[in-house]
Amino acid sequence: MTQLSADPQTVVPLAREELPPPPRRRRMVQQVPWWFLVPALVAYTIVVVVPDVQAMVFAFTNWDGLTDNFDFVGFDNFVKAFESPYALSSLINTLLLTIAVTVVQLIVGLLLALALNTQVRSRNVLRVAFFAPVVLTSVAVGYIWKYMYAPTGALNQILDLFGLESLKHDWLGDPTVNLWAIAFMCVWQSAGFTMVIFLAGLQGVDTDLIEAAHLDGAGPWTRFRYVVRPLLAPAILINAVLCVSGGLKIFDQIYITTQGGPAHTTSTLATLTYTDGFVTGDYSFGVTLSVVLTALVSVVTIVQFRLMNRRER
Amino acid sequence: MINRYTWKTGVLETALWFIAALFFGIPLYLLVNVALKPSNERGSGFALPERVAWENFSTAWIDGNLPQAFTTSVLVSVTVVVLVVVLAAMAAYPLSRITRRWSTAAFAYFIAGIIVPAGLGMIPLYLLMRDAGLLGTIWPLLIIYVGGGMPFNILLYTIFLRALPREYEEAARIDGARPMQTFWSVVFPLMRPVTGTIVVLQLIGVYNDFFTPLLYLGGSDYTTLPLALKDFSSQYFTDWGAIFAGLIIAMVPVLVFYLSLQKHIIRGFAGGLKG
Repeated sequence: MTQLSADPQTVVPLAREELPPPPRRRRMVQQVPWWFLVPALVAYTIVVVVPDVQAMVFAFTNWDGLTDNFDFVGFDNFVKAFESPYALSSLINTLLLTIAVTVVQLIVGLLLALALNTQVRSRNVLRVAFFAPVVLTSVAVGYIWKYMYAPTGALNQILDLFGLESLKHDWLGDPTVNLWAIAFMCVWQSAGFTMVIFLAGLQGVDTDLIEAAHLDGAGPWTRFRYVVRPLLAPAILINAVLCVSGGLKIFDQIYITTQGGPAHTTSTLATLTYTDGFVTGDYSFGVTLSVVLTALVSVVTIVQFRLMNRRER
Repeated sequence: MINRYTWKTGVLETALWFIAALFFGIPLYLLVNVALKPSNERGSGFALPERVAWENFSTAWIDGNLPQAFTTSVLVSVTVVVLVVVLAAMAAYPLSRITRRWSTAAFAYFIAGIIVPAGLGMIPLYLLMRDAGLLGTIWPLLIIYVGGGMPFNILLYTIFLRALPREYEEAARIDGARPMQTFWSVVFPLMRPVTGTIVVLQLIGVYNDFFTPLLYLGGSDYTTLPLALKDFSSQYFTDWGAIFAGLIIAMVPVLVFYLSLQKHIIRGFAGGLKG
């Protein structure tokens, strides 16, 4: 390092033609130091590559996380994991939560973006407001909604006020609604993000095209369906991928509000990995679940890209 | 003609403000109102407090271990941002300029990290840190954020550098600059837009992260803001006043940062994704 950053004064400037072949640097390429790569490579390999590979190997062994001895046991861990009464319901919860969050967030984000892509005067202020929850820690969001959702909390008070007592619930305790309450909270936090991606996408849509369609007598829905939506396809794909991969991994909000309870009705693969795998020290169970979750995320993402590519053609 | 402000736009604008008030105004009002309520005042969170209870803030600040959490959070976030920017920018330079096979392979190796979800290696990584005796210290956080941040940020820098003309570097070289000098005084300043995006995303991401501190600092003397907030629920089981006061204390810095740089921050989030 010291060698390379030697005093510039000692370097004699040379014109391009006069450059003699430098003794140790044979090619122009060498002007870019390859070793710049090394620190990043080391950090990344230790933190990401080695543990990921270990996880994939350990999921197929009887390794207990304590000793160095293990044998390969094939898919035994996966079979065992799903014999646990909660693994299957957690998998179903993960999928339901992801689908709900993705669908609602795409719709809400798109509607907000379309609404703010008009001549609305306060659009900048509103954009800042709708995006604000994105920069907050999900712990804070979890607490705020835990308070809103409490049996005597703000949401039920509002329902009382409007005479809608029949809609009152123990939002986080009642198994028929608690997963959806958590989904709503997650959408509340991240819809602004989806909106911003859509707004960036809408900026690329030529207003002349929309005006032309308008002059040809196309209504708002037709204009959206045939002009805006095809041009927005990349933004839709990015948002869908982000919602799905984010949704499958939701942990913080659940941990703060319900910790997966009551009776595992809101537990997902992510929370189960932590509460039943990690905290109890059943590392093999935890590793197995995280491999299942990874496989799920990868498959869904690949399918999304495939579907999108086919539609674009 | 389509871009005129008509009565319909007015209706839309009113509707949007109604939505904002309903979904953001009410939670914000409750947050502030409850934080200012004495814990012995029962009743609805909507009712204004009979007496403003500033002591909720001092309770949260002192009993919630917030000074320590603040110091740790800021220290970790800033260190991580500096390290991520330096390491990712340096790595992107050869990745974008050298076209040999090993360079392309190294790039693919980094990008693979974006595709694999971060949770996969969680337990082996925890056991690695345990065996290294680092549990309960901030070292695992620094190492994990920096190493985990490499793929995405290297991608951002590399895409940008590939589009950046090489004339500047060549000029510097002809003027006799050494490779290190060329990089730090010519290339690095030119990458400022990406550096801005990365600083924003990393700073907010690390400051807000809950899961990593939960794993590595849970039960130790050190804590970060999200982790300290989580511990509130066991300390003051129903003292929402102190909890909300703590939330406000933790949220104010990030909200001030957000509101003062909102254009750049929103663009950073959107721009970080085009990669």
